[in-house]
Amino acid sequence: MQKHNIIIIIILTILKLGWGDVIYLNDGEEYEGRLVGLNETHVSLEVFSGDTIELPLSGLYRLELENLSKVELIDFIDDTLIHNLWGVAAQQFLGYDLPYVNLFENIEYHINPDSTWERRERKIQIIINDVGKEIANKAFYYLAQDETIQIVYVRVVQEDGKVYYIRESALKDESINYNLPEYDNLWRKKIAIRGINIGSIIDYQIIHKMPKISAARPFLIKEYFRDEELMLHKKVNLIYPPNFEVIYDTFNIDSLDSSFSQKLFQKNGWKIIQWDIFTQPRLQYEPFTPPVAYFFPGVIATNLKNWTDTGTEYYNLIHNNTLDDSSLTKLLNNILYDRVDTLRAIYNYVLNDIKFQTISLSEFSYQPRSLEKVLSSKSGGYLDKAYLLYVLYHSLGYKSHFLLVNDQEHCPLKEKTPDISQFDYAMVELEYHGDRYYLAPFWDRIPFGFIPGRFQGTKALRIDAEASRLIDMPLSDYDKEGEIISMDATLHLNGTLEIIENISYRGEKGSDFRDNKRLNKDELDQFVEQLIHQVHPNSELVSYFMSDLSDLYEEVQLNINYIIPDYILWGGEDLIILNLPGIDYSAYDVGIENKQYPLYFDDYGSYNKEIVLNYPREFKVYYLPPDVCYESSLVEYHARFEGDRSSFLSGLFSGKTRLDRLVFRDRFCLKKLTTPADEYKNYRECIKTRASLSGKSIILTK
Amino acid sequence: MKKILIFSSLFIIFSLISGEQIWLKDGSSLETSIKFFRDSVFFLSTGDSLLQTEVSEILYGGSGETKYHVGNGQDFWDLQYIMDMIKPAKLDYPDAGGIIILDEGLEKLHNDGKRSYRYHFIGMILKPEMTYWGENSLYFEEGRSTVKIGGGRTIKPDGTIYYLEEDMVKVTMPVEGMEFMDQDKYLSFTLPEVQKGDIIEYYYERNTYNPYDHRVFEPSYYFQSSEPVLISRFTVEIPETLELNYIAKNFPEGGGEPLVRISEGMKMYQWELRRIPPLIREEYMPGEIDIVPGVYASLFGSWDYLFEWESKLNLRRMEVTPEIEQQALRITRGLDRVDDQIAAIYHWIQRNIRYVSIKGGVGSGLCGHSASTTLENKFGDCIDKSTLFASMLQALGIQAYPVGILTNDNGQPPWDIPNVYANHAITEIHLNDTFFFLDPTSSDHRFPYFSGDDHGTLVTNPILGEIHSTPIPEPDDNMRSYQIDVVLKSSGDAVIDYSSTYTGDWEAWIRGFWRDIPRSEWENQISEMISADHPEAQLLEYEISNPERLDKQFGLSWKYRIRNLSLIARDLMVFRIPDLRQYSFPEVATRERKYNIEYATSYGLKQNAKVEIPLNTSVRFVPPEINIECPYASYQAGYRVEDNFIIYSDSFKRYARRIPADYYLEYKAFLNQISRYSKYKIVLQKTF
Repeated sequence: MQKHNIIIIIILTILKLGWGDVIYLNDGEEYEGRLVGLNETHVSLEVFSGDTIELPLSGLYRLELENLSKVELIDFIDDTLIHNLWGVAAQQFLGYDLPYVNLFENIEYHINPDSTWERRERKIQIIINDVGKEIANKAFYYLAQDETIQIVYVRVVQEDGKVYYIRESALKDESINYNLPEYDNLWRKKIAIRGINIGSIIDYQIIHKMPKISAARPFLIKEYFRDEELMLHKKVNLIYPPNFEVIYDTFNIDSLDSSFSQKLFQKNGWKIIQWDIFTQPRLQYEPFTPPVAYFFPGVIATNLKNWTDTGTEYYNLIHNNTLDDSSLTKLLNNILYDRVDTLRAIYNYVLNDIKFQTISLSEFSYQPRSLEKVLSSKSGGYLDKAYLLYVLYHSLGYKSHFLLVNDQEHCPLKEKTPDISQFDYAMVELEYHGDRYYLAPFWDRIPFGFIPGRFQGTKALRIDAEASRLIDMPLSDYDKEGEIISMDATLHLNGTLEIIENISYRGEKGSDFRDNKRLNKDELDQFVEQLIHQVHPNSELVSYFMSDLSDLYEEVQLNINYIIPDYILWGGEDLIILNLPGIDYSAYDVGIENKQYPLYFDDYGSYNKEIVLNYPREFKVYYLPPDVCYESSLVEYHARFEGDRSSFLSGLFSGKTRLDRLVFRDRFCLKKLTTPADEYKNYRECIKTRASLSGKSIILTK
Repeated sequence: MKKILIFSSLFIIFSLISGEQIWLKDGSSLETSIKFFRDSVFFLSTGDSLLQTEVSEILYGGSGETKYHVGNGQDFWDLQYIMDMIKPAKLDYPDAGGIIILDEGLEKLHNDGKRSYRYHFIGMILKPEMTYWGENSLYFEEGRSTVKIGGGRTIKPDGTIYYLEEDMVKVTMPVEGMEFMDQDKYLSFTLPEVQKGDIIEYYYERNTYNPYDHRVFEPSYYFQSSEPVLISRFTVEIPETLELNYIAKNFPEGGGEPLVRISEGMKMYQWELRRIPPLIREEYMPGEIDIVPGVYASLFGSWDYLFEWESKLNLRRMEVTPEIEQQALRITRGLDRVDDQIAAIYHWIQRNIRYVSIKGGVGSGLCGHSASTTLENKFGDCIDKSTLFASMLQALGIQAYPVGILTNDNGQPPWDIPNVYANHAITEIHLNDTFFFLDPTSSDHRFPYFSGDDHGTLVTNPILGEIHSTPIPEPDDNMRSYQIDVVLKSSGDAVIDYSSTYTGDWEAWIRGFWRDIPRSEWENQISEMISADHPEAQLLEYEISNPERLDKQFGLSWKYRIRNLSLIARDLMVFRIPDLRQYSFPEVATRERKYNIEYATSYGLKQNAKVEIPLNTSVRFVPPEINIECPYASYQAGYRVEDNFIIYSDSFKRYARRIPADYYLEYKAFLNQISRYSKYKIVLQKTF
């Protein structure tokens, strides 16, 4: 470092220390600078220009002090790591086709002898292009009731070596569920880093402090070794006292991967497990990519136990949360008054009478709220509602179990590391007359015994006083999911197409469709008109009928009668070219030839369509597209066109225009929720086969 | 759970104290006075001291530790009266989610300049979805205002009543988008036992004991909701000596004039509407100001006072510092033309000042931060960026100002009533005896284009004391232009050369789309796009022009092969020209429409195609030409045959932002013709 720069650096450092104090005046004006004086009557502030302004306190209503912000030079930072990275990264990565690169991340989990614990994070990233600047806004989540986030520092190192620290005004704590006081626990500390340019290096350290490990506040670490963008080096350390026992597991790591290492050692009386991984590629965009839990490499660890003990511990934690006998009796009498079907009556009560708040376990607590509070507020999250249902069944002597469940987003469960914080939801398992039901009393469109799609095919922990164990949540048969569409279309001589369409929504589709019960008549009319508009932009609604969406046990059906004037397109004086309505399949999602990640689908199920096209006898079929078919263990598609003259006789006696008819039937079946990447080619071929129909027209001649 | 009819009788207040309230970094606070500050230490009147690094903020003259209380509900309505009102209403609105029985606001300006806002709500919940009415969050600003809940209750169908208790009330910091940092606090509460079939009632009062300006009093109110409203009432009370300027918009014919009376030195203006039907949303509908009955009021008869206040703040923030001047010169080095200089700075701010909004009070709330601060932080929100932009232009001798704008999706406020309507800020530039606008909040707009939601509305320029309107660009300045060349083989396969260029909002949108995708993924993205309609498409080459160069027009081009573009039906070949847009207009999907159709801005699309057909074919059919127009848009399209080429061109231009509701059926018919035409196919005959 040249000596003549040292003075400049010192001056720079002094000038910029403590900059960013803000005075707010009653008249709305604000001044920013550095507080230099304050007494009982006046405040003095040195502003950016170097001047000092003096203001009477009587005009002030707030003074904010800036304690974080400063500007210094990298040479003043005693940290070899940042010096090395700053020197190397600038040349190496600029020009890369990436928004940013994760240069280094070090995570330390530190379990204290009193069983409190901390997560310490240091992360260093470099911004490569404009899109990468979004990482300069960050958020750190915590449970405010008993956790804290401490910002050790957040700084940006620019290419010229200037280092900017964040300002307090660019730091905010906010409540995620601020509008629900009874569930206010999940907060986040949000920061906006300043002085960001392309080539800037962001370096931050935070400490997240957790309370003592207990049944209600379990200990679990789960770290991924990859990120959305290129990760050069990540270290994870678990440091714990010698009398503490852990169990851990790595996942999605190839044993032959030389970029990964694991070490166990002791230091200064502490046990340490260290995981290191180098150079992990960025996440390439592909369609149907599953949640990262399915394929990102990572490590998971918890304190040593098994699933049975974990469940027992949890059972002991919650089972005293109940109602006194008289309250319980009174409640059950109210619910069951004049009801024959006890099971459904109780389910319907919890479903409909306790408002659902979409609060998961990790957002609030692993302990259900007191049943008194749930009943007095008439609201509950996933845990509270499931637990209330369980208590009610249990009190009547039904064989029921409380379940902690996972959703597909967080699958697969890491079975080697038993801990309740691997679950984020809860349900109830009920056995009755040899049948087993899984009950999810959340949204008021879930029928008794229906498992919402996101929980199907996952793992759950059945809670029991002594015999807790993992179970598999059933996966609905794909033929019970999806849609069945039948369409009766009549083509008139004037070119108008008249359609009677019936759509049956099954399984998850039906449950989702029931959400439309919140719409009033005008809104429903618009909804249906927009639906037929998607079939053809010139569609005109004649009438429609919708099954009672409030009845959870009635099949969800929509019947629509509509016309499309001028539907047919002439291809000359005597040629009619028409595409069947509703046959508009795209192959967008399979445009790429190969995939590297597993496939994950959210439209699992079977979709069946039948279109009967009645056309005047004056027209003859000139061309029908050929049948298509594709079948594999993952997916299948069949489509068939058939001519039918059976309506001839009915037309003869009615005096109406005699019609011929074509029948089109197709069936698309997606049979799995997830599948390895090498099955993509089958999926692709099937979708391409289906999409090929969209370009195929039927040609009629006069 | 508390027993019926028992409620706590407390009030939620922020106790006003003298001296300071000192908030420490650890979240605790002290109420004391500071004797003096020296060498980064606060010396307190108690004799203690605090390091500057321990203190986060100091509040003067107006805040204390929060105590949670709920009032005794002395102003609750009579239960029988409520029940009598609701009975006929349920018959009138059988499928409503809920019925608002009372929606009453009272804005009061006190003689000492303080003001209060009182709100009273009564509603009946008819569908479970409306139980959220029982969850409320009330805004307040520490040091300026307090909130007091007068009472809250839930009334069951059998007459049982449950009262709001303090454990259902909390002060919180609300979550906002990642870019937003402000000091807002909310008092949130949840009424007990709320279910379908219940009636809920609550009222609260917000007292602004420390307004930033005693003269600025701008009450406004909406009278409609997405559910039916039985009584909506708004009262404004001011000292008798003052005069209220007001406008009532969208009231039923003959309505809008308030009941005015004077009592005890106060003048009261009261508006009331009854049995207001629910607002049913439509696609592309106007902003609420244009359709919902509303009252907008002010004590000002002109904008002078507000302009003067705001311009003082604006001018101070626009100060050109040496750093700003140096940066402006650096950006425009070598550029001689003024337009190029403006463009260069416009582009630089878009790309180098990222969007972060930090609001500490009304000064930064309305006028942002100094240009020098924004330049140093390299972040800022709309007003920060507009101020910096204006400042940098000023440094070059170009006259420019940050101006306030209400984006056009909100509707047109009554500009005759001076008020702070703006929800956004852009920059007004004066050049050659005219002026124009640019919006540096964007990140992808090429000069001279700016964001569509700034078009066709008004801006306030406090420094000049003027109100101007922003133009709606011609469709050519929001245009997509496609060129598609096709070589069709007798097998039905084809090779396609596609290219497109853009202007205006379209260009910004599509440039932003492609910039978000890493270059290594462009090929996959294009493959997906060409496969959408043609599953057998194979990409051969591509180019994406100027995604990062804002000074150059953005363009796309690619070449690809399709198998089976044309259907071969015996001796016929039938196909649509690939990549030609099929028009679909969801805004005209419904049979009828109540509200105007409102778009953000104008629209233009031009498509040109040239198809080389196989030599052993002749053209059997191409669609006839179409040339239609209406007062708001025009469309021309046609095919012609030249030797073994089919030439196609079309042009769709919409000039207007607004299509009146009484023109809907004609407009629908106009657009439906276009939709239909875009579905046509070409028929070739094989001549063997």
